[in-house]
Amino acid sequence: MELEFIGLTKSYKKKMALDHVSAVLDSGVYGLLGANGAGKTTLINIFVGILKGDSGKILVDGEDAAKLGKEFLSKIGYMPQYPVFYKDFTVLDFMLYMCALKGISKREGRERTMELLEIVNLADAVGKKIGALSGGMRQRVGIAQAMLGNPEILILDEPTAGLDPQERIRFRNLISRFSQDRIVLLATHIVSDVEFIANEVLLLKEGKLIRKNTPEALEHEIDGKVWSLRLPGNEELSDYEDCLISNVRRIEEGIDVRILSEEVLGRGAVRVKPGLEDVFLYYFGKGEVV
Amino acid sequence: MFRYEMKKLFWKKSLLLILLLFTVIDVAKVRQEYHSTTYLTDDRAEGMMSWKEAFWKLYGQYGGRLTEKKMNAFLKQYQPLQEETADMTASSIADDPQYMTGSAWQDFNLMEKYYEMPMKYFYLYGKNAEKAAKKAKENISFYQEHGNSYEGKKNAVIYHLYQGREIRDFSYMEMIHYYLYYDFSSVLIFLLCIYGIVRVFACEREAQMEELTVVSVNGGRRLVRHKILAVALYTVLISLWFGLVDFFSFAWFYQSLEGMGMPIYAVENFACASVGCSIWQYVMLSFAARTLGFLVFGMFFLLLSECCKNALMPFVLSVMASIASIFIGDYFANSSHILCKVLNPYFLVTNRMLFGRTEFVDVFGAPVLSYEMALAVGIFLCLSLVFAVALLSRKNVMVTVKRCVNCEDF
Repeated sequence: MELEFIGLTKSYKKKMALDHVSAVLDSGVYGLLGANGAGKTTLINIFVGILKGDSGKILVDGEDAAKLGKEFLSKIGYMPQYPVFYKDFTVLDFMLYMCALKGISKREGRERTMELLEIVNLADAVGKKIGALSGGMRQRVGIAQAMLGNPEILILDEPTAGLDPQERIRFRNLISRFSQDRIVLLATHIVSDVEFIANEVLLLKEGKLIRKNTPEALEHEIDGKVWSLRLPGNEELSDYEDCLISNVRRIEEGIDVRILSEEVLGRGAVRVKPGLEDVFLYYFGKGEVV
Repeated sequence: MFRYEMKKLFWKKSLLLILLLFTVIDVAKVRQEYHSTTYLTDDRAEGMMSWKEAFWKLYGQYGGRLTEKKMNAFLKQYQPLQEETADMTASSIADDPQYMTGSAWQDFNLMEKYYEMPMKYFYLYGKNAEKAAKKAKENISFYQEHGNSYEGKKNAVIYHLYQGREIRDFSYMEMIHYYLYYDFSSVLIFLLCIYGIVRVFACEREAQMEELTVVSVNGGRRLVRHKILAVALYTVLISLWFGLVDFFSFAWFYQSLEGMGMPIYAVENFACASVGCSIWQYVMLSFAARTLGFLVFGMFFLLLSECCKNALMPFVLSVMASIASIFIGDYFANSSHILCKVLNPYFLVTNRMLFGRTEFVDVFGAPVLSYEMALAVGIFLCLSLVFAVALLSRKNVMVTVKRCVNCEDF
């Protein structure tokens, strides 16, 4: 399966929400990373057909998605941002309802539902009302329903928003598990969501796709620009206010600071290996669009 | 999928509780209606008959086919009482065993209200209807001579409606009269329709389900179709439920189903009815018209639900629209502005104003009975609203675009 975005553009009045975004995606997990308002949800909404783009095309295995119609929808599993679902429905009823919406037969739907609920560890909550589920459990119902039709493309919009660390890790593992032989597009502004599981990261800034690469390659791009130094106190920190400070940790001897800088920093500064968070800060901190 | 849409509408604790509460309120209201309207109570003087007993005793004698023999027998019993009470000196104390209820006054009042007056109406109705038909026939020739074809056609309809009308049987009509004039349950249906329907689309939006459904294969037009059908069925079922509750409550409290086979014009306020069916048939027809009226309102509420972002706004707008429709309806109820009646679906809900009178609407020179026009307008409004809901519902761009041939960009 190959997915191609060609010049996707969308503007709201004078604001350019998406500016000629083009990319090719193969099987694997793609982290769509960007600050709030960068255009992640707009891109996803155009992709799944919720929103009409101003121009551009989406090709699925070389075929125009717009011409595929419902066939295209059957290839997609989608989990929207902040899903609430129907509070009065039990988990099972909700899943069966989603099966009906996806055109899955009752028998097949029930089997697939039970299988998925087992995977997402909600088999015991089958009879529970959705309104009684925790945020994490609801998100797991969300990904389970997205996987119902065994889709070739899985779209997850901010799936870990509001989850505690344990649930976030659990969810991340689920995404990895579901990513085999399919394209997973994971939109988030939480770097750690994609750091460990994404094969490639798409960086969106002000509607433009500014980078698309593996996490390692993106980290490699800013090699030598991440510094660590120890300062005696807060006063000295003000000397670096023009730099991008990615982390400040207070210790007994003073403070440990992690700084992003194009220039070589003074004495005591040590170059360190960049992480994806540094990459995020590098592009979305004060940096300009490349 | 339809099952789930119905479940979303009905399977709510709050709705079921409200339905139960409204049913109890409705039954209580019918009970109150019964106690405040009927004279046929069980109150009695010691050793005497109650009005109820006395009425049903007489009914055995005078109920059924109105014959000369029965009328004479009735007059023989009634006239002495009339004479006895004419000078207003008869005792009103209920202690005289020669009278059924214990006093001449009470016997006279009972027989006058429940026998003499309706019997007179039944007896004279045929003659009056014949007069109306005869006059209409004269009018046909008159208007044809003067080249007024519209009035000619109108009188032809009147002639066919009234010709041959007569009431042959005497029947107890009290329950039917009050049943046909009972509107309280319509208010309850309005409230239940508003409560159930305004949430249909608004709640999908609030639960972020709209985005999810629109991305599903069957989540577009098909889902909207199921939602419309579910709303229609919800409205019909609510309307049917209260229709049954009303009917059986009246039957229970008045303890009678007498008169259901009588013609509708046997009810005094339906003397000029534009339909000539039996009361049974009228009850069905009225139910159908009422349900159509609620369907129009229901689809309107659904459209509001479609257009508003949350459930509060369509709720407020629906309540306001219903109140406005009711007030306008009441204002024009007894007026000659027939168009105001046929265009307002409220008149389908309380349809006795349409069926109880012979009124016409001029449709391109053809006289159309107001109820026919109101039904046609109701069906048109309902279908238009369904169309608007389907048109305005959110669709998937990908699916919509596929329908557009040679579409390069989307």
